[in-house]
Amino acid sequence: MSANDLLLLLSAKTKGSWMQFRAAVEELHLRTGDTTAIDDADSDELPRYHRLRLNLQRLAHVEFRAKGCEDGWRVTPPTLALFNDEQHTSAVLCGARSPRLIERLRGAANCATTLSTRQEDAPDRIVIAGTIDMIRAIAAQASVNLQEQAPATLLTALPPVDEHRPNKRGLPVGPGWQIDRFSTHEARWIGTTREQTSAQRGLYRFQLGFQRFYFYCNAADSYEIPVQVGKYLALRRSRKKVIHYDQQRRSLSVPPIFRPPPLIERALILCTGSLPAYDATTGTLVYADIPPSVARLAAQILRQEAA
Amino acid sequence: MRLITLAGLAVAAATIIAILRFRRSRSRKEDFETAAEELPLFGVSPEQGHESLYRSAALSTSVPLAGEHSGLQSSGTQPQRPTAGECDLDTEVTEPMSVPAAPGPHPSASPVSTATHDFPSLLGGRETVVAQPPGTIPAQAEHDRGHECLAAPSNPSLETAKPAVDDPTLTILQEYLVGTEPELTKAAYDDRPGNRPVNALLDSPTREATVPSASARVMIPIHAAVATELPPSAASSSRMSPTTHRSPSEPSLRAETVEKPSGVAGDELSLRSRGTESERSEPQTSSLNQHAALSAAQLTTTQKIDQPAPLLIGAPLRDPSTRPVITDAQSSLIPSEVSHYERSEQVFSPSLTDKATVQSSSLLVDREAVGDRQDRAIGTELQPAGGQMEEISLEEHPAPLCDLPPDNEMLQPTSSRVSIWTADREEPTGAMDDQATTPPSQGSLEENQPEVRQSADSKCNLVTTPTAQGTPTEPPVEIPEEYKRETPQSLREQGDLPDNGPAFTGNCPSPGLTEDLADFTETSSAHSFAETESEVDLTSTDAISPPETGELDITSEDLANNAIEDGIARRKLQRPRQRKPRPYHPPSSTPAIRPTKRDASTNGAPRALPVNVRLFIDRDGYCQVSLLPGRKQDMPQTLCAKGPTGDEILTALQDNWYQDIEVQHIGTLLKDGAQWDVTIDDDRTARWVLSGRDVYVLASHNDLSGWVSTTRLQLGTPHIVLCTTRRLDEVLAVISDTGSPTPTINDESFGAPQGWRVLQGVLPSRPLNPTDDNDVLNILRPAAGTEITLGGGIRLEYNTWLAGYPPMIAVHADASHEIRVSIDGQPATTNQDGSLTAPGWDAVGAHTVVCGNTSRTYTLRYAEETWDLWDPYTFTTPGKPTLSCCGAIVRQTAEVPRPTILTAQSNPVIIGAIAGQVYYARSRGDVYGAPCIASPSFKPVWALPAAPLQSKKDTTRILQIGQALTPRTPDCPADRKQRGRVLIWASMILDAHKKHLRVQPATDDAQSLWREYVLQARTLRRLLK
Repeated sequence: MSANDLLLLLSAKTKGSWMQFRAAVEELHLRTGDTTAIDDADSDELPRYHRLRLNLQRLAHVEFRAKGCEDGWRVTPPTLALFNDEQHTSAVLCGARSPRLIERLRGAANCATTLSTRQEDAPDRIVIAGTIDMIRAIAAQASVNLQEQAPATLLTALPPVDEHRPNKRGLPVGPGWQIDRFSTHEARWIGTTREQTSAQRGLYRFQLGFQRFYFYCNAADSYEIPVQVGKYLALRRSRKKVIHYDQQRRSLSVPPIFRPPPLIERALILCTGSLPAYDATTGTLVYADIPPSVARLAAQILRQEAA
Repeated sequence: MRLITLAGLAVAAATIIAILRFRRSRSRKEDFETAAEELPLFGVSPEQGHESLYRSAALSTSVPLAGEHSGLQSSGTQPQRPTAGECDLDTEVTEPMSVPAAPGPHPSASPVSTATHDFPSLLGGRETVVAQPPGTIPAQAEHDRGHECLAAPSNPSLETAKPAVDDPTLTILQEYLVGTEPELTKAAYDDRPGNRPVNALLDSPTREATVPSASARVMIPIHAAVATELPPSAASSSRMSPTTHRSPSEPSLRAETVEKPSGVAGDELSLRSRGTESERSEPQTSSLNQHAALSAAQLTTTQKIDQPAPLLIGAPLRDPSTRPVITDAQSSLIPSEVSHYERSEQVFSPSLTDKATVQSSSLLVDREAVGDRQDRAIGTELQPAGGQMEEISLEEHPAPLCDLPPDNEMLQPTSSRVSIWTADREEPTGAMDDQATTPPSQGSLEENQPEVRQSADSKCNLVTTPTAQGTPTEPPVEIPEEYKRETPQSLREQGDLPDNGPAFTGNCPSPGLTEDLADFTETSSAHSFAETESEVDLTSTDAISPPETGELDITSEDLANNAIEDGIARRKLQRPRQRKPRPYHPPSSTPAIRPTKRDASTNGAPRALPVNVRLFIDRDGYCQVSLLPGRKQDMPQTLCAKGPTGDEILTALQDNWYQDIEVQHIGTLLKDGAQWDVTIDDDRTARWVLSGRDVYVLASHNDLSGWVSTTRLQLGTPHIVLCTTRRLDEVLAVISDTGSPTPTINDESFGAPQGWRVLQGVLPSRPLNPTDDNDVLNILRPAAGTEITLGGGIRLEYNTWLAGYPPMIAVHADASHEIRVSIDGQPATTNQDGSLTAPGWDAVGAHTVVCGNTSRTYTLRYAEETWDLWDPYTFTTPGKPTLSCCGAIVRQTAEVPRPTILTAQSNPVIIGAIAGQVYYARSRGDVYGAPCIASPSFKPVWALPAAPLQSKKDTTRILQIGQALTPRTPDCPADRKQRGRVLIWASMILDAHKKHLRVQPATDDAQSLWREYVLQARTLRRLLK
């Protein structure tokens, strides 16, 4: 069994709870004990179901714990995410899948090039290459949605990280909380005390058991914030650049601990439909085949300057 | 002196009235309200249940007195409304209970005579005694109260029936003082709808809980009387009997009864019960009990005068030696009535047994005067309901059963006939004489003795009867063994009563009662619920079936063959009592309550949840063993359980499982077992138990990955066996016997727990018979048989798989036998991977796999492709439309969602194919150079600069961003607003053309398409100008 079966199962069930997702993962015997995937560098190895969840979310197949599926997951409708630039035009199949949908799509794209590539801990990557009109026709024939210029459109819709509106919320109280502060210079979490949260502005992590809460604190207030957004906020404050774009290779690389926020990362992934690869030599995550316009737009949203 | 006495009585009466009024005002309302809300008997708390039930029981025990005698005898007599006297009398009676009773026997006590004789002397200041059945002792009051509490239902109708007078005590005192007799009619209580006889037990808990109303039934102890009729004079005397107003120093019947020696029957306890009851402001109950006692006493007296009746009233209580020798005919009366009454009631009165049956070994005489219960002993109207019931007149049993004082002569009963049931067994007369007087054993519950139970509970202590005057205690009452043994419980133990029959109303509060009431106060536990469950059977069939013990067999046989012989009865009485009293079982007519009780009990004492063992093997063959706690769906997703290794945080894995627990010393836990406990909330706990053993069998699981512990090896299925090193050789031998290939043994270096070995590759092929002993290695011996398994594929539901991803069909059976498998009637073939297929086995639809006598079905279907867009993420910018992102789709959120497109920041004007379709996309100012996102309501074709005439010619382009749609004019020439849009549309195109901006893409098709748009724009502008 593979993540393809998982996506088929989730697509058949349309939506469900987190428990059901985990049960589906268990039922499909997806756990193999392999924990080689790299996630947040400061965190331990993520369980397989978490990696599957993150990859399904990055590839725009399934939304987890979002509006409309607060306590679980929901499969997005099948969509061809079109991406075109001066060099090529292609569309990545996102969202739900079913055997009949795949058959229809293959039947409609007989004149186009269909590429299916296996990915680890993720469904197969299905890409249709052709002209824009051809892809539009395929989408209409296969009865799937089409999002033109999907990466740029998504990035354009997203607000910058410094315009994120975090929820003002008090810090957790009570004993037992392990408090860490994110150090942008050392690119890791450093233990601290509760008193420091009000004394030093920055991103803090409160951890108690399996619970983790992230707060961006200043002298007066504290805001609950997504961890990746908070990191880039901290980076912006420290004026540190972590994003590197190679125009020749058209690749964008970031340290794993500075993985972009999910939707921005989704936009980057939709350029090719491939998950980022870990470059052991540089110790960075590499997003391949990213056009300069998209890389520039992503960096600007992250308040970074692609070096 | 008389005046002084009268004055003193008046003052005392006034004080008593005040006290009773105060108490009643506090207790009556809530008691009766509770009784009205709950099912008749036990819907009250243990604390208030006694009093409320007692009060109800008192009503049910009303004895026909003057003026109602005929009604009592006549079954067709219309019931009468209760009068004040019914309630008042007992109130009056209870107050004098404060008179301290002299300890020890009172040799000259003659309750009956005293009761009937001394009442007139009350006003005259003479010694007045409480008229009550012979043998009544103060301790009995407590006893009576106890069983009354349990016997009588709390009926809301009683609330209207009882308070005929505001204060019965006041009434009765007034009547006393003025010399009038309150009319206490038994039939008055039968006036209530749904009134049914309630068999109040003397000394055992009553099962009655569903009688809708109190019935006027005499609850006379077994030794008290078999009275069914009371002469009017006796009735009046009994009403006057509460004239126990005398000084503590004066001898009284109460004192006498207290002083009575051990020959105390159950009824002896009634008076003391009344005393306690009076302190609890329950005069009515006491009074009614008193009525019963009086009636019995009067009847006894009458019988004594006219014809010796089989009443064990006076003499045995005073002196066992004077206990009458009951002849064969006589001896059968009382106990036989008890037994037959109860039996008949059980057998022939299903309605009674179902709802209102109260069983007792005490003498129960149905005094119900209403015709609805004519099939039972009602006064002199004995109408058997088809059972072996006969009417026995007291005249037929001339032998005196008690000594009656000459004062009894004043009682001239109009009838002395007593209706009883046919006797199958005899009153153990001889045994009674043999019984030694023994002091009550404190707290000995096993003996089921009333006094013992009473003593066991401090609330109603036989030896301590607080009185209204503050008399602290009374000396213990010695009750002869024969009377003890004649208690319902003893009879039950002897087999005379079904052991699981109606619970006896013990002393108040007996342990059983406490439990029973606790059951109904929602403090139930699993145990109490189980008792409740068993009650159903008790009231239906078990109640009339003999006990399961050999005692009953003997007794039944004795009863059948030697019904009249004393020796048998003696043997029965002398049998050792080994059983503990069964607690009260609530009636079966409370189905609505039981689910709640079940839930409560279930929540309070949940069944232990399982803990499975799970094992993973990674790529390198390294094992990882963990524990997998079970989970119920209503349990929280996160728990902190206390276990042998400390607190473990359990996180939900699935609906039925929590996440694995990985502990360091798991080998010890696997061998010795472990338990985890957690308190979910105030009334819910959870417990997980891992049974320690030396061998675990693990196999694949349908819902879980890895290898999960299972019950035993299965033929043809790969397993992993986890065993201790100590039993490794034995395990290998058994595995070898199963025909399995030699497994791979992994030790600690491969992740096996300390002291354990992991045996991989166990694939049994031969069934083995388990050994006779409970050897744990039996789980390694697969059972013979055929099993069809459906695994793999994409299972959508229990037996439904996704089309295109069918299950893998496998059959596990003894390899030595030939197996024929068919799928949808087609012979199945075995593939290389061991799965079975047949033509059409993976087609959409239902399929059936048959192998011998075993079959299994599965269904293949397509999934419904109903994937709708929604707005999981929304982005709102002031002044701009709200956008949402769902997967890869970005759209504008609106009533009619629009798709979005991107356009360059230099070309924000979107032009459509129809004239007038113009959309201006605003650029975002927070990101330099970011494209403009637009969500026009039309299909975009061109993107033009906002001000073509001011744009740079060399860098600005005309962008084709959509399909090549030819320009068209609007279908309807529109209004002024639409005309303006058309002008803008035409102006934007002509300005861009006038600026000579280049078209991109620079293709011929795009160029020609642009020229068409220019021509269309010119035409429209001419027309509109």
